[in-house]
Amino acid sequence: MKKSEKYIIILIGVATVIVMGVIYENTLSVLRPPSAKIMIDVEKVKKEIRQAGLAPQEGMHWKELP
Amino acid sequence: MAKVVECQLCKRKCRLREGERGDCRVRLNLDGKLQTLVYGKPCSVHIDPIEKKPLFHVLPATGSFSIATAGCNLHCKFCQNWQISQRAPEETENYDLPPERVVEQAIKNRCQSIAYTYSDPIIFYEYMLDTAKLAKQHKLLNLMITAGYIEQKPLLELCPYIDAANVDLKGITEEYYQKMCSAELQPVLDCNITMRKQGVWVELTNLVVPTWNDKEEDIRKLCRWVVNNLGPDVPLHFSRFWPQHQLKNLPPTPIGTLTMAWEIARQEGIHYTYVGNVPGHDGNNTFCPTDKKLLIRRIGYSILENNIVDGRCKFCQTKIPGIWKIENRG
Repeated sequence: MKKSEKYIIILIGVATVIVMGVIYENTLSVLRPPSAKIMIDVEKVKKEIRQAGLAPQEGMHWKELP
Repeated sequence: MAKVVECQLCKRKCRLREGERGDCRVRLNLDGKLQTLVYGKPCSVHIDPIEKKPLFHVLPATGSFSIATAGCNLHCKFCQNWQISQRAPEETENYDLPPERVVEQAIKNRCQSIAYTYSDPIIFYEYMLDTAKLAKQHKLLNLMITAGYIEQKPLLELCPYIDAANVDLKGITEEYYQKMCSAELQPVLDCNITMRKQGVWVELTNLVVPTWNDKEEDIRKLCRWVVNNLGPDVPLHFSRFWPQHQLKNLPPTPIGTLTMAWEIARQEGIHYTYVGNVPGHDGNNTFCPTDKKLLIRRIGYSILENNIVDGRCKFCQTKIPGIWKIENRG
């Protein structure tokens, strides 16, 4: 087998692995359970609010959801 | 397990997990409660002529102590206050101005009213409500300048403290509200009707945006809605658009288009119709609907001549609706 043919096979192999990886991740993201959500760092949020000099106060017209 | 809360101030009804913020950027769920970040924290504080709101039938030639916080529950492509309305309060420089200090400053600066304005006061609802209650005790008028995107329950609680409002009626189709403002039209229409029924003096503003809402049939439809649902005495201001925010590609509204809108409104029976952001236009002035005489001559926000005496045309005695003195609401 010529050297150039070897390199082409290696290149195709690497490309195939990358494409398979992308397909795998995309499939996982569709099949992931609905409970998987973006996590909010609440302590970080509170810290940023304090640093901005803001003072949260309870608002009106809201309700707690079951 | 962390509680989820639902804000019920506006139609969006944002559902917020712990730490999450509503669409308006200023209300969030902290410790299982919905909290406001902007109570007593305005980022804009000015004294404006009342005509700037625009309110042309309320205490002419007086100053209004005007406040706003960051945030807004609409996202209008043409917003002229986007630097504060499309920002979270962490991104703006805020004053520390609790309600009692707002009232104190308004009185100190000889203002006869307090205006909740610039962004949208619906999102600083609690701050506006508490300030308005105090202002009323000190015989200051409360002016709300708003897009009217609010649920009925909070609106009904607010109305007893609001003397006058300028409400943006940005368009007359749901499609316009969705595409231009990411919102809905119907809550705004309902807000106007409710305010009128509750005795709030209402003036409307329609920003005429070239190629978006400047067609004759749309303007006529808007005017007919106003006459049929609010009555011919509700003033309607057509305001000139200037390229801003996400619509810098459009030209300013041609003056001819504004003149056309002004004339259509008069044809449709609206008694008091105005053109805004065009100094020197005849639409800056107030005319008596009975004898057509000039009642108030304005240039920009300045009053040059006023022929309304005790709330009536001085020539033919027709009652001109509005709030011409603090003690009357007509």
